[in-house]
Amino acid sequence: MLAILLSSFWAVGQDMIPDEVRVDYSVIKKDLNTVIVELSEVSNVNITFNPNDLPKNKVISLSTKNKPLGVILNAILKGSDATYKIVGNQLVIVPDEFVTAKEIITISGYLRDSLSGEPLIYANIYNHEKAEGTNTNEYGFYSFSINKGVQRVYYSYLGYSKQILELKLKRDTTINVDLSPDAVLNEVLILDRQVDAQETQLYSADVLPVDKIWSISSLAGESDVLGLAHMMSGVSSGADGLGGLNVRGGSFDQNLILYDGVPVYNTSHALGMFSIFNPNTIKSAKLIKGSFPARYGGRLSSVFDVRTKDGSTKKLKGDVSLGAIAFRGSLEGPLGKNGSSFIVSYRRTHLDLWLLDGFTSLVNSDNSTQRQSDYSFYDLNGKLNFQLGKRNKLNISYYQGSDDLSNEIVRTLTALPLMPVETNQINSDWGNNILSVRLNSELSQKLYHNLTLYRSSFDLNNFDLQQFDMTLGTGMTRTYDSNLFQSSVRDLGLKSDFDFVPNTKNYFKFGFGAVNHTFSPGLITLDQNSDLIQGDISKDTLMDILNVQDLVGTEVYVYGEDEIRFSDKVKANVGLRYNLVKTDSNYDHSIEPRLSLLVEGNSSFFRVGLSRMSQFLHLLSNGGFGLPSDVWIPSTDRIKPEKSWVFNAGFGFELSENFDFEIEGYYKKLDRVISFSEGVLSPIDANFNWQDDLPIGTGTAYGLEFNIHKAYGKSNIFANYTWSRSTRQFEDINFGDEYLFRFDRTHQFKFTLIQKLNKNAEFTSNLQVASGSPVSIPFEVRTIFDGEGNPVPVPVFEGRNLQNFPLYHRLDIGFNFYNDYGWAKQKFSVGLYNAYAWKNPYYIELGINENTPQNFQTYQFTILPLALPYISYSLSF
Amino acid sequence: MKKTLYILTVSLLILTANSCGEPVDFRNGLESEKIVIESVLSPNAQINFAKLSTSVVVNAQVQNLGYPIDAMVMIRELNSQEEFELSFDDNKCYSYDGASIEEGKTYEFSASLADSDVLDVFATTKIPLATTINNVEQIAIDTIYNPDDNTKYGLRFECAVTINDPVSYPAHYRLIPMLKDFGLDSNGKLFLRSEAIYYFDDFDFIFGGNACHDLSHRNGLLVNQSKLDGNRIVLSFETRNTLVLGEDRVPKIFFALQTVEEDFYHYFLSSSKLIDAQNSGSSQVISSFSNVTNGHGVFTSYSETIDSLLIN
Repeated sequence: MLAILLSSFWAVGQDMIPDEVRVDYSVIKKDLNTVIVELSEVSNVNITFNPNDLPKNKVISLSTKNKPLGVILNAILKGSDATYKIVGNQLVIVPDEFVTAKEIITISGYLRDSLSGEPLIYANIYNHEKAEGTNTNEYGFYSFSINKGVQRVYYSYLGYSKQILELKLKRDTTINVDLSPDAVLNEVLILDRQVDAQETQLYSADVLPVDKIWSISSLAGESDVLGLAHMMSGVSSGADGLGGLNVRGGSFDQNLILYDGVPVYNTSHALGMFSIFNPNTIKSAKLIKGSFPARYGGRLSSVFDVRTKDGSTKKLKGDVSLGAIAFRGSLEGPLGKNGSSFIVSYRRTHLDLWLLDGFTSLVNSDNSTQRQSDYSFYDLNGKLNFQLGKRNKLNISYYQGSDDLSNEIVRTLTALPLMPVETNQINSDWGNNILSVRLNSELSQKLYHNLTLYRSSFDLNNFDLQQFDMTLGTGMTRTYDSNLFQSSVRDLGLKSDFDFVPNTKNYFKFGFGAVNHTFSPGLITLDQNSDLIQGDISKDTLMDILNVQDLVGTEVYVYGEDEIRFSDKVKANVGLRYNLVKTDSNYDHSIEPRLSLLVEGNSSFFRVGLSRMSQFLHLLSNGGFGLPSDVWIPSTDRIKPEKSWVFNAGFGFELSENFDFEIEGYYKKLDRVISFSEGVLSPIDANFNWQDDLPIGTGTAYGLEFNIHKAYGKSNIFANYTWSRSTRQFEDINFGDEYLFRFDRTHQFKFTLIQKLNKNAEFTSNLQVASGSPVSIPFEVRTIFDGEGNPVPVPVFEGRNLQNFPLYHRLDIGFNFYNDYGWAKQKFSVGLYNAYAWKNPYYIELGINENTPQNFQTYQFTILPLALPYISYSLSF
Repeated sequence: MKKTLYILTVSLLILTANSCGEPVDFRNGLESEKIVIESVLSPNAQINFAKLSTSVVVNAQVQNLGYPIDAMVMIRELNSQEEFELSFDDNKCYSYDGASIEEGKTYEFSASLADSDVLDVFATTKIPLATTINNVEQIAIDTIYNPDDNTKYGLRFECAVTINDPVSYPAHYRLIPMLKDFGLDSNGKLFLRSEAIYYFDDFDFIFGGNACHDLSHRNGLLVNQSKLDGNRIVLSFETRNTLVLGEDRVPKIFFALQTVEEDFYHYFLSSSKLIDAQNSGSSQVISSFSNVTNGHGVFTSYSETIDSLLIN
């Protein structure tokens, strides 16, 4: 590595850099010396020069408005052997040492956090002279082609002080840069918008403001990266705002959720109230909703790419936190002095540890009802990073998390004849387990490689039982309905990805991968008419009966994409992905073109994209409101991979100095989507031809999103409105008529405010207003006759999802208080979730009116009918 | 203070674990009771029936699932205008004995309740032209043993039924395998001992996939021709009837192929799902089929042909 000559460097501050002063200047046919003197007067910047260094016969004519002084000087000095450099707050014209033909060289390296050594991903690198830039990749590495000579390069990242390096470059050079975090959370941030503006995304993507994750609290005061995603336009959650991630009319399984590049199948804890992503470990998160680059594939609707920290390479650090629901802690630090590190974090609920007995006695106050409940979840994250020489890094990452829920209510129905005993029981456990080994290698200044070997698994068992016991003269009569959902997925995968940056115009990404999937789906539904169970019904008895079959499938893919910079205003990404899938005895392949185009104006942009996507696996969802009753299945000979075409177009502009406005439309066509059939759930069991029962259909989604964003100053505002429709159509459902998808929300309005009150306090609020979700409500009950001619009362559904729940709305407010003790930083949060206690319905059920049992009544269930206060405390050291 | 802290921090768990339903009414005031009918015509039926009831409006203060006995129920052939009135009989249905029902003709149904605000209902059906069975073959026959004492319990048959091309598309069928009360005389010849008919159950479709649906409560299966591959259905079914177990077991299975209207197919398929889902809390929504104007239910028809299979 050649030593770099740094002639000067500036940090972000209040002073204007001398050559960035903007001037209006016009001149006709004057000599160069005179022009330079006049420019100095007009700009109030001292420009020093030796007239002998300048060509004597050069005559200048130009007219310019509001142009930076440096740009004007470069223009008038072009063709001479002179250039300028910055000395203090003045400019000095000097002979150009690098006047021989401009050659292109490459600078590359890593951007890191100066305090922790953590690589900064998607950070900005910008060359002032050529007005060109690039970003660090997912591992903090960048490669940038630049002219030889004296070049000014800006390194910036949101939440960090910008670094401006004036470099004298003679050959390919490695430049690693450390950026300092912007003071502490409790300082007011005033950022220079002009230079610090985030590069406009070529893709229809939201780079989630993870620096705000600690400001915005979700349920029970827990910060959650999925909560950030729910703030974005085009994203809806499950019912009652809990869990789920439905992006632009897609279902949950159509999201490619990546945990450090490894696909994850389930992201929910606590029925969808929190995600599996421990906020202590999050480094970045990006949600791509359209214009998908070819490196991503395997899902139809979105990519949620979450990257976690590698651990501090500088010193030992940690934090602990206690909230209303869970406690968590993390510890990170260096392993030796060569840049290796570790990080480990743990999070767990604590309610079950000390509260359960008290809770049971508190609520069992009615002799006719007995309740027993238990719930716990935990996450364990661990990472080891080893620096292997200067060019290689080995990373071993592990995640394990699980939920355990049980709830039993036994109630004597005293209002009914014979006082039957009703038992409702739920017994669920689910969790993910991920292990990955990753090797990152700088193969050259221009070529970067990532090789990942991973194992990702998800297991779910969900048992529920409704049972009525009635004692008659002849003995006890029992009626019951019980279900067992079982879903297990095991992936073993290999990925090889290359980044190749040959010049400033092209950024190539290409690679290949293979995944072996093993699915073990199971579903069994039994009632009193089954003779399979003798005696009591339990999860274990159903598990003994269920005959689960392993279904294996293999996916292989190869892709290539090029991000082409036609000019500083026009960029495109052109890519192609090829997927080959092996099912039982067939092959299915998919050729997926990916195109996106970005055209930028001075303070506006236009973007358009088209993507072909395919998806090997499917999720059969029963209700899908964040409850763990979904079953993952692979594609088979009959159930082919799903496919989609996604088109999006949008434009944006600066509304004012600090406000950005964006509007985007999208259209999505889905093929081969599947669903449970109408009626009783078909068993998924090796003894049944369950695949034949699954309807296969199509889906359509389209919409318009409006976004306003203010990210500078004391107030951060995220506001958006989405108008959208999402439908499904199956020949065997709803008599073949198209119907609204259950996560359709015609109107959605979201408003999030983070307001700095003073140096140590901030106020946050989050308002969500949305059309009620579609629902099927029976307004009538009629009689049909069974084979023996006996009348059976049944609900009348005139169609599927013809009605809507009432308007959904919820307001969350909170206050965060910060203190810095020097040796540690403290944060104390207090707030209200669902501040005005609005009862948003979760689902509707038809039942019997307990007071008049001959009457039918609809009942509405709400998960969160109260305003939920929260308190949490965290300490970072 | 401690109890207050309990309540604050347990509120979430209470609500998630013990969410109680709240009565809610989404009606818009336009809902009303309606007449519900179930009536199937066939040239092959001596007596044509119609079952009548009335629906109730959910959440209404007064709800009575009624079975009117004094409705005016008429069926009229549209071309000739010949009509006949059905009367309430001992089987709690409205019936007419001896009506002339012919394939290809269209009939209209009407029902009204005197002195009632319930709207009169109307429906029409066109009697389909019967499709015939091309071939029936036996593939396998297995004995079912009682697991407790290892005695013969029943028999499971696997058969293939090939249907001829229908007269018109789309075509739907109900296929009913059945046993008749045949015996063997001293000369070894078959004779019909009584009019009794015995049905099979526990259907399984080896080939026919999602073209076939178990209609156990109606003793047969529904078939959607458009989903069949090559007009062939391979299915298995079982019986524990002594007719098949004794020394003089009946060597014949009869297959009744009823060519049904598409409305028949949709209605009875959805009804079958509704009956199966009665006590299931996890079943998916079943859309209700109806071809009755101002009411619910079905007025439909079928034509029938029969073939038989000698059992080996």
